[in-house]
Amino acid sequence: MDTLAGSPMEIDEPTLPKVRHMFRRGEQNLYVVNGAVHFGLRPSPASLILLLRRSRTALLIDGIEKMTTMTRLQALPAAFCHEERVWYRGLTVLDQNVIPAVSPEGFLTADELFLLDALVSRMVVTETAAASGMGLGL
Amino acid sequence: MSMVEQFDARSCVLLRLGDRRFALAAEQIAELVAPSRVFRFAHRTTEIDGVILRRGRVVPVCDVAEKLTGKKLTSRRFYLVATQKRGASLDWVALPVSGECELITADLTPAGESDSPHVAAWLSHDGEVIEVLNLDALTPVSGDRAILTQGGSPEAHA
Repeated sequence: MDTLAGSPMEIDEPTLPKVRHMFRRGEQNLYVVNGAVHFGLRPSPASLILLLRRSRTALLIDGIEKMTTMTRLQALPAAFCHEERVWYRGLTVLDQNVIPAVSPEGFLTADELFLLDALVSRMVVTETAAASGMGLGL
Repeated sequence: MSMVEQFDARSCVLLRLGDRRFALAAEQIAELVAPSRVFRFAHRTTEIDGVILRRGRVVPVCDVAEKLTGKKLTSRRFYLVATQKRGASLDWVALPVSGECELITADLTPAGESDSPHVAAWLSHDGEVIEVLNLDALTPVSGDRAILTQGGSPEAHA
């Protein structure tokens, strides 16, 4: 769990409006996916970042309601036949509520990660060049 | 007598959607239940309203009234829970209906080539000619071709 109050790098890739920030953790770029934009929900002033294990995605969320253990995961019914099949691992029932269990791999495709990595590389090169230029000018 | 004119007596369940009646083969019906809480979460399958919990099973709610009558149901009196065989699995789907259902036995006339895909057959009951529904043509189907890549719109891939 983290917040956007740190210093994540800002990203502006018009084809991926759900990703606005990234930060580095170890050798990897982690991309912050706005959960509301990803799921097509009403935009909200989210500021908490949920780091997903074994994933290069961090999820921007409104808050954490509770942590619990799933005892049973049901497959998403076959009648759901669009992107939700990629978004969710399945559905679980907690306290008589149906909750979708998200799939960490469902937030960014390999192509999108490739696109973002390329964009960040270009940004880093540009920033390095600008810093060198400023240094030469002194 | 041609294939289309052959008759076949079958048990069917009559259901009411607005002011029209339709039928489903009785063997496809699991139960008729009172409306219960519909759980909703983000998804892109517009035909699905949400899901209900029935005997520990998550059942998608699919309102077929708009497709069949051109109008959404204003009142839901029951959910007719039907089953659909898809490959090796049996899927459940809850169809909101606006009136009580009736089990009848009737002679079915198979649908003709000119009938809509949602018509599996026809039956005559109480002086009314009623469509026997083909659920597979009314409810969305998941499959490799239907699963979209992220970022695409359902319409773009329909």
